[in-house]
Amino acid sequence: MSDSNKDRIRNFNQNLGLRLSHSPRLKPILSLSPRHCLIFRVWAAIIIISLAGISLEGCYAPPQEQQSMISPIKISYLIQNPLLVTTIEKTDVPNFYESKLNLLGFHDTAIEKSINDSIQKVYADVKDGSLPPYRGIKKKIPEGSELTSGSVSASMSYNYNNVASIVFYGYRNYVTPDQNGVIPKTDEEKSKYSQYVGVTKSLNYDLNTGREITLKDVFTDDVDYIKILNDYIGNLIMNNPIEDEDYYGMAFFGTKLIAPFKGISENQKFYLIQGGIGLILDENNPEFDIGLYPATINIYFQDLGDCIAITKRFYDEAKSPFVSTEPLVKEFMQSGAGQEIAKESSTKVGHIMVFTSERYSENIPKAAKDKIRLLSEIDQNRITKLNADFVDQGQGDSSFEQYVWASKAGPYTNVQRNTSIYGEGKWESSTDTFCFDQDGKEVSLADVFIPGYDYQKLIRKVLQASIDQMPPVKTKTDIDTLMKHLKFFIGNAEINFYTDPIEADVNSRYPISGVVSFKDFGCENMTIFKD
Amino acid sequence: MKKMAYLSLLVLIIAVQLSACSGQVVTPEDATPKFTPETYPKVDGSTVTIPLSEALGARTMGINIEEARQYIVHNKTHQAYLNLINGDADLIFVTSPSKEEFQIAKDNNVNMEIIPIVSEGFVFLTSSDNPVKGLTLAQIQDIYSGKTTNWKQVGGNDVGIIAYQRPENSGSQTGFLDLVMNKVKPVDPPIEQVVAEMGQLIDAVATYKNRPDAIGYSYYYFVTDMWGNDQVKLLEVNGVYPDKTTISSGSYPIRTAYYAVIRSDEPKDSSARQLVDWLLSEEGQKLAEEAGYVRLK
Repeated sequence: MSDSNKDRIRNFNQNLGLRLSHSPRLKPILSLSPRHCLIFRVWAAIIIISLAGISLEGCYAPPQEQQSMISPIKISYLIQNPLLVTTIEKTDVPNFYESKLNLLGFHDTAIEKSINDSIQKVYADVKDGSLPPYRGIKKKIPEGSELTSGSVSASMSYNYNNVASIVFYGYRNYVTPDQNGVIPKTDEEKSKYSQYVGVTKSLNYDLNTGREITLKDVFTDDVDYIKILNDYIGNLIMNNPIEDEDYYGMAFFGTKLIAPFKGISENQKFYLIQGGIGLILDENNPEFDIGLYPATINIYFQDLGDCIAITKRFYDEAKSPFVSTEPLVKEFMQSGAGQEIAKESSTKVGHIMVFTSERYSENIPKAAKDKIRLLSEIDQNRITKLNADFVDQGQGDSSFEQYVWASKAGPYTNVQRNTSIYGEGKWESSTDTFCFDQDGKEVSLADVFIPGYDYQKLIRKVLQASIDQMPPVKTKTDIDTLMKHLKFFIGNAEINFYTDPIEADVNSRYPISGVVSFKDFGCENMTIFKD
Repeated sequence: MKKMAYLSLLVLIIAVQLSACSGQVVTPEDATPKFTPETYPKVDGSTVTIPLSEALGARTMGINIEEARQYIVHNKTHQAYLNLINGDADLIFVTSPSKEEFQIAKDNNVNMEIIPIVSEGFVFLTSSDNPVKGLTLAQIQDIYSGKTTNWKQVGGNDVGIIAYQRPENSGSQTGFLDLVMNKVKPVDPPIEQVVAEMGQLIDAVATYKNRPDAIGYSYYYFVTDMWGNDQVKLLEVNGVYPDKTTISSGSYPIRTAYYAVIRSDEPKDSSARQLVDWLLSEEGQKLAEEAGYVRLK
């Protein structure tokens, strides 16, 4: 039993039982006879046992002792929970869309039932509950307003390493009374008096026990997680002056700061996302004016340092809570944009508008930066040729666009260049990709797989399917030739492929692309997941 | 009999203690106006005055703040003025009106009574690592007009000054131009590229970065008690440090206010006037302070 639950039981005893029967201050006044005292104790014991039972509702399995989590923790990859997630969509009530989910595949069916019961409970609350106590809601949606449409959905935002987050979104649209207190009849009037209200709730589970996890569980035990999150939010506010009522920033969307941000509480609502955490701002964060729908601040774990314990705290390689015996499916953790270095330029050379964009993070290997520098250089001969070939057909200037950027997937850095030429009714596009490991060594496609594994078979199948879906091509596409010059980059959960450009039709020429998930390759056939 | 006496005494003691703990001082005459959600005046306002409005609503409707909050709607400054002018609001809690809002009122034959209800200070901030303790108003104008470019010129380290500004037309930029620059044209602000909605890069006024060479500004209400402000230092202006006392007394030189605005034809005993009158009383000012604002002098 965890310390917190021991304390809870101890508190029950102290508050409800022992103090009543043994309080030295009350005893002389109550002066119970031995018989009454016995009756009183029996009843007290019944009440204590009942209340203790209630307190443990939802915590089906006895809590396990947690091992201490100390930073630094390196997260190499995530492991998908082999759960069967069923989603039921329905529109039983007109204009009311529903999407609910159920989790299956636990060894312990009691835990499975406990989790699904609580999911259904929150789902029902989001669907049928009263209006949330938002700022201004009783003025904006007064009594007598008419519910016209709505939706409720439950979905998994995180499902890795024996932890799952379920997010519930509810939306309702009301038509409110006009100045005369009458519900408008025409569509035009209805839209004028329409109010939209949203609710976001979440459940976060340790799937070993079915217990809900707390924000504290996400972090290692040796850090002040509240301070870490508050520092992050404080910094975000400093960089987004949302106290200015006319400022609109991407980080907070329409949310306004109406009072000094003094910090979140231990009970801050949250859910996990792949690679981070979403903090739900709602009526419990009154310093933010959210309007009638909650806002979420998504924070990537990589921005919080190496103090994230959530992938390790509840995962034990030797003990799975799931019935599945399928091979493990791994993913790299998503990170933020990681493209703080950004350059763009736009110039006109003759008849050609030349646009270039370069985006990458300082935090990538030098070899990747060198490659970006090289790829960013404009091929002046090509621009000269485009100008020479330009024939004014009254369709304006041609354009040459070149995007070079780096992206990260686990320890790998992908450098990509996409070049597009538009003009004279024609379009040509090409993609180049390069992949580097954390030491700056360029990685080939063969390096991604264990020796002897025929990865080409699956790639060929995917590319062939793409070719089959294309309109009849000008020239016959030779897949063997395309396979020889295949380019790739590593995603978080998949490998992405590009071929050399092909003549797709008379006016366009572009590469064929394809995606194969790590799951389809089989993570056991891949070399890229290293602890 | 003795037991009964003990019991009565205990009940009496508990009653007295509970009464003392409730924090309510029973006065012969409670001047707080009383409303229900249905009788509460039509109030609107700026976003910055929402907490004041909510505290006022809770007190005068006799409900807790979480409940009162549900009845309070502020539609931002400009819309609040429009709502007051066209009669959709009877009382607004706002920043000072712009020339445009004065003109709209005039065009609609509406006279506005603009009544300061709480004080506000316009403050300059830098990193707590910056050794400069304060600046004069003239030095601030020189920094923002580009005449002074190094902290050494104002008694600091030999480093260039990064003078951050706020986006054009934002509340704090308007305050900066009106209260501080006084028709002196500021230099162009530092610019940074930010990712816009569609993913493209756009130039934007750089936001304040808390570095020892930086100077920025804000309103006192938002700086005080803000998480992380222990790394930020407020600068004295003309030798006066901005705090609740100096802003309230007027000794801090860059001072403004938030206002209650009503139409002049509002009846003398109207609910809106009752609210404003009470807000200006000692009890009302105490409430405003508790809500985080600076009381009037």
